Amino acid sequence: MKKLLPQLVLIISSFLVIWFLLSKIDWIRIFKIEERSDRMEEKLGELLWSTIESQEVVIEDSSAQSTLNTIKERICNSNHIKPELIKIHLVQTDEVNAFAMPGNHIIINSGLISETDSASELAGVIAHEIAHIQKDHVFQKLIREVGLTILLSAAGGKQGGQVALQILKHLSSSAYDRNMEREADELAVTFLANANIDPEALASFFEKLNQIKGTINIPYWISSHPDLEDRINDVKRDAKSKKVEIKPLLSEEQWNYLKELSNSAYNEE
Amino acid sequence: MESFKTDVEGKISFVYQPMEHEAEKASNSYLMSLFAVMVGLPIPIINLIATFIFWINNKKGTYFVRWHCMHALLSQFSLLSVNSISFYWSISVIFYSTPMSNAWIAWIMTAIIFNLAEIAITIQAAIKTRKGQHVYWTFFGPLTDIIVKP
Repeated sequence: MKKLLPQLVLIISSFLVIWFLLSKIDWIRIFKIEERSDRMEEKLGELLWSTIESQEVVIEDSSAQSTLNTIKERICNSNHIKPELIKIHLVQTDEVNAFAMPGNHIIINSGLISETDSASELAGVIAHEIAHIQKDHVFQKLIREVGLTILLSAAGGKQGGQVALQILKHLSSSAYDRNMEREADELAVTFLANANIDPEALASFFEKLNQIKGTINIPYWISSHPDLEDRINDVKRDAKSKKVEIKPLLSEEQWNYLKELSNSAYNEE
Repeated sequence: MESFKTDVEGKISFVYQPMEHEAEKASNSYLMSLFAVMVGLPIPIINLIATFIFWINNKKGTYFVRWHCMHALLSQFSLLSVNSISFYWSISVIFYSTPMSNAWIAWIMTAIIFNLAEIAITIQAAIKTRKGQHVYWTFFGPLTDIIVKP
């Protein structure tokens, strides 16, 4: 009996000592885990983007792209994010939707721009998607919904376009979990405030979509985003807590051009 | 004649050659835990349940059999907590936002080392008890002495 406790301590401490010593080795660097993970996400992002290019009408208008990049750069530069890492694409479809993909791609539908009333509202949507990317929500969501094995084989080029379509469907039409959405909202408000963009614009865009839901095709931004009214209140509260010196984001000309382009694309649909 | 003797420190050792069926059952208790470890991973509770059922079935066996069944059962607890933590930590890393850290990789490696060590000494115990020899592990031996009485 006397020897029992020292022997137990011996077993536990031997485990802890081995764990402690092994944890001093930088396995993340040795196994190149971050590099491998980034490369896999990049490959998956390229696969998904090429699928979108072949399936959807991509608006390749240099003025519109430049306007979207202006918003992106304003948010990124004010929040220590390299803007060149985020790739924004404009797709012609009447779906009121925007979503982030692996490889730091953000897809903005022309239907969503048509529903926005100001550049700040659009910036709110972009900031929300950048927040999902920064928090690594995109890959976590895919692992949960699609599975790591399928993602690995898709990134390795072993799966066909059917898998890419399935992954795209998950990204564009199902919501992140409640915690992820709230986290992204909170971070988006911070991003907008740091970039001198009115953070309440995100809440006003949510409100607008909340009013029109059911009347138009909104696959992800409303229909699957949980507890929208709670989120509107949370965003408003967070926005009020920030002292923001609002500075102009786009010229009227730039904004009108983007809106007109999106509206005409919307009408073509 | 007594089938066991107690030394000055209270450690019990068997002084008789167990019968064939006793050696077989004692050996099987270790094999059962070993088999269940392989089947049960990564859910760490299965090996414990399997060994527990085996112990229940042999509760009325001879002292040699009961002692080794309990010895095998108790040893399962050593890795139950380690494997449980490994399982839930890994789930958290793969499916949730827990970062993949050096601490997690080191934990998994340490758990693998201890699992392999457990498998090795369990095989050795199964072979020895099958030959009718007594095995007595650190901590679990004295603990079994306290729980299982002749």
